[in-house]
Amino acid sequence: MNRVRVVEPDQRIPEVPEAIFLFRSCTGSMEYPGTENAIKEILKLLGIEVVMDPDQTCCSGYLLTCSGYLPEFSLGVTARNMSIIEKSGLPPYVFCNGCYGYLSELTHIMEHNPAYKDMANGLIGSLGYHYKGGNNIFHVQELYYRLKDEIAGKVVRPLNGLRVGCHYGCHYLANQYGILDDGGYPAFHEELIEALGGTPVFYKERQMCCGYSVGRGFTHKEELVQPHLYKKFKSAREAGVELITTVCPGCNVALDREQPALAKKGYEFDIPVIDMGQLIALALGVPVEKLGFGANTVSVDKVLKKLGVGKGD
Amino acid sequence: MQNTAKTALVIGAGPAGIEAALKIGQAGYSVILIEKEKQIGGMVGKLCSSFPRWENPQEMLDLKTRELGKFLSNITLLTNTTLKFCEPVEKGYLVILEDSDKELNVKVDAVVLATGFDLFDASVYGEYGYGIYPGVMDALEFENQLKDWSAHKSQTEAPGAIAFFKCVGSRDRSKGNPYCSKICCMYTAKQAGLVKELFPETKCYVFYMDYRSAGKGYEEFVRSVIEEKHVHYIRGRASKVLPQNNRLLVRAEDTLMGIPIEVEVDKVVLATGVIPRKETARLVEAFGINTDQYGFIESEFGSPAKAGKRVFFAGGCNFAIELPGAQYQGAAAAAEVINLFYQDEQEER
Repeated sequence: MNRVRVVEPDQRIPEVPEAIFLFRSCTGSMEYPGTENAIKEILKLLGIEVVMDPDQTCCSGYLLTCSGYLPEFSLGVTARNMSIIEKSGLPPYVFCNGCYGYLSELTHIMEHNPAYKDMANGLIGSLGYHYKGGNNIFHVQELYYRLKDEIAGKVVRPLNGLRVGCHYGCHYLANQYGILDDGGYPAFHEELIEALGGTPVFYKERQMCCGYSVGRGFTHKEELVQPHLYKKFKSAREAGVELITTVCPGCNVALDREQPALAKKGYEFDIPVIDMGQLIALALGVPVEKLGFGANTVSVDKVLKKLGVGKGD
Repeated sequence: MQNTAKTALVIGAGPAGIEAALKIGQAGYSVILIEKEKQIGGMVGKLCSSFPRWENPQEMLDLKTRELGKFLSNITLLTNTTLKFCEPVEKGYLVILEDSDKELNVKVDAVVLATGFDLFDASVYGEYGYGIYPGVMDALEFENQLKDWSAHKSQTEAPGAIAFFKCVGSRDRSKGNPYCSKICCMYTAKQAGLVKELFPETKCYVFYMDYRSAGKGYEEFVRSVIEEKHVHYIRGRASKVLPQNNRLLVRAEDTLMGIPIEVEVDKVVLATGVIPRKETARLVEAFGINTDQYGFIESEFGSPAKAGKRVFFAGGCNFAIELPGAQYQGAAAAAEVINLFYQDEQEER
């Protein structure tokens, strides 16, 4: 029983780390490489060193969700990735809600069931890895919020009241315990948008799921996902949202890549969707060509134009 | 025969405390009944009606006030008064009572704690928007609204629809309250029934997991609200409240039909669960008695009203309780005190 569900940012991250282990996301780094780059640029400006390891693999949650293989295998993959993080001795930061959810959950399972941990260690032991345990998993959005004031102080390209609708994604808030905000009515992204000089928009369906898990080629491609997203985008448009931010590449894919399919059916919304990190980097003056907006399906150009940023800034 | 050599201190003048004070006073002993508020009545004084007989709680309070008035020689009622200090002495406690401008030192031979309960903070459920959308209120705020509507019915425009969510802060382990608060099913039925009584055209939806109506006349009461007053009971917890067309949109699942539903309403009433009062914790420490893991007072083995050495309890400080239950417990605590005083006297002879 835990009454402490929501923690303050300085409780969650008591001391701002000098260096972090950035846990790469498959979806993020493959679909929107600019996300990872933006994070590196922001952290460079904030004076935090980023360490990565090419030996790290997918968090494995993706196939576990679809029951693609046995859960035991996922535990092995998680233990292996965690052992790599342990070797670095740095706090792990993910930039995907999926990685956050699965790493937190699977390490929690191993923490509370020593038999599972032993089994996972047995699997990876022959490859020369060993997972000790007791780690905390962080998301970069937590670091942004922890350093909100520092970020606000470094803004060189304010958002000039750009109407931004935030999409939080389910797998961070659904963790329920030890997170930065109330899962039922979060507002810390909106605070970040304000800090960047934008106008946060509390559009009606801002907490509606992106539909990725059932939408992107899995179980209910069109008949379920499209009406669902129609509802979400409609409410965003009605509230005058000019840009949607995400903190999960999965959400970004679902919200961005599905819009042409909706447009084909006669429902054109044309609302660009980018990662929160990309928007922060933009405000901090990171050159736009480093942010990889070319990977977006819905063009970000009109937002860049509004901010007075040319493509070849 | 009056025997005022023995004095009991009753803390809290809600229904339990009043009942305890009356019974001890009527038995001929002295009672000091203290109440931190200006008014007596506790929670009951804030209610609009009661179950299962639609009685006006104010009438009951008036009756009890008249009874207290008949025993003024034995019962001293001190409102705006709290316990400042207590020290155990032989066969009793030395206590200091304080109000805004004076203190009273007195030796008491027994103490009855009747400090009542508090309501769960509904803002913990961010998805329901309590504290964010003005139309979302907790159960006690809605009682006040009902009082207001009853008093100014002709000037009030009938609301189109009202939704009631049950088990807000009850039976929810994720919010730290796994227990059933016991009274919410009944007060929700009462509130929805009252709305229909005032405004028959207003639609009332009650979202429930299951309804618990264990008590004399309780099941019949809930059935009458559903069948005769036409309150819609929908089995399923609401998942979200959103603003829409200057009203509130409720998203829920009708688990009996197996379909997601949406209704637009003007008010959402959260049937907030019961938690211990903060003040009780201080008294628990002062008198060195036990509580359960939530902070409700625990009874000693063998006596349902005894909490410690010469300390007894009654009503909501022990757990969620409805009005008649609080009165039973007040009477039970009084019986314990009277018995204790009688034993003391036998020994002294």
